[in-house]
Amino acid sequence: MMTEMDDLDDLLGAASGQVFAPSPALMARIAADADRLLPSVVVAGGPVRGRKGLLATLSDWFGGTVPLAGVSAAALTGIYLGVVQPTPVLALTYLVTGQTTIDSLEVLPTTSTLWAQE
Amino acid sequence: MPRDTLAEVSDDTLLVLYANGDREASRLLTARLAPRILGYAMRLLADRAEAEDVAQEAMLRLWKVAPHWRPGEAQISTWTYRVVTNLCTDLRRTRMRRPAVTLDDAPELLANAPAVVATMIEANRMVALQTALNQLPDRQRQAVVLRHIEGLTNPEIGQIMAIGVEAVESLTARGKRALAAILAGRKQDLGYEGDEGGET
Repeated sequence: MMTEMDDLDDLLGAASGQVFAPSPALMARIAADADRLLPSVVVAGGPVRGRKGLLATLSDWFGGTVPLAGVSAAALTGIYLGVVQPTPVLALTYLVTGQTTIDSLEVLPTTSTLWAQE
Repeated sequence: MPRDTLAEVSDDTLLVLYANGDREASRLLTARLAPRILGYAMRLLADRAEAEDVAQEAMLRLWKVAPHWRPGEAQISTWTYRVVTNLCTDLRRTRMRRPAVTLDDAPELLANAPAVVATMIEANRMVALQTALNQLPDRQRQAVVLRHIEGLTNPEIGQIMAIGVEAVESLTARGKRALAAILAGRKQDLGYEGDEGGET
C-alpha cells in the first residue's frame, strides 16, 4: 500500500530534485522589469553647472523667489517712507521728537554719550 | 560589477548592488531565485502560465522594494517565498481551477531521465504526486511543499506562512498523512510494486 511513509518520502524526494527551468521569455520579462525599475544613482563629481547669476544667488539665500520679492518690497517701502515722509509719519515723528521734520533719529545711544553721562 | 565577481556574493548584497544601479546584479539574483519560486508556484498552482505570472510579479515586487531593503533583517528567499505564497493563495481564491496537471507538463517532468520506461514511471509518479497535492487544503499543501520539496526549515516556513513552528509541524504532518491516504492503492500504478524485491 502507498500509505507507507517511506514510499511517500521517496516520492517527495524525487520531486525535490526536479528543476523547473524558467523559459527564456519569462527571464526576459523579469529582466525588462528589473531594467525599468533600476534605481538611478547620483554620481559624485558629476557635471559642473554654470555659474549662477546674482538674482539666482539672492533667491537661494532668501529661500526662493517669493521670500526675495517680500524682502525687496519691504526695503522699497522703507526707502519710500524715508524720502517722502507722508503725513502719518510726520505726526508720529512730532509725537516722538517734538519736531515736524527729522533728518536722523538716534535710537541707540553712542558710546561717547554714555561716557558723557558718567 | 563582473558576473564572476558577483558569483559568491549573498542575495542581500546583490539586491543592494541593484538598488545602487547595478544591472548585472539583478540578472544574477533572477538566475538564483526564479527557478525556485517558479517551481514552488508550479506546485501550488499546477499551471505553468499562472506560475510564470506569479514568479514575474514576485520578482517585480522585489525590484520595487530594493531601495528600501535592510540587509540582515530578513532573508530574500524567505521574503520571496512569502510573496509567492500570498499571490498563489489569491489566485486560487479568485480563479476557477483547471485540471491539476496537463500532458503539456510531462516533457518537463521527463527531463534528464536515463531511459524511456523509467522516465515514464517517474513522470507518472510526479503527476500522481501533483494530483494528490492539488487535493490538499491550501495551507497543508504550502507547508508540505515548502518542507519536503523546497527543503526549508520549520522556522523559515513559519516566517513565510506567518505561523508558529508548532503549527508548521502540525500542517506538514497532517498534509503528509492526507497525501499518503490519497495515494493509497496506487502503488502498483506508480511502479512501487517491483521496488520491494525481497518480499514474497
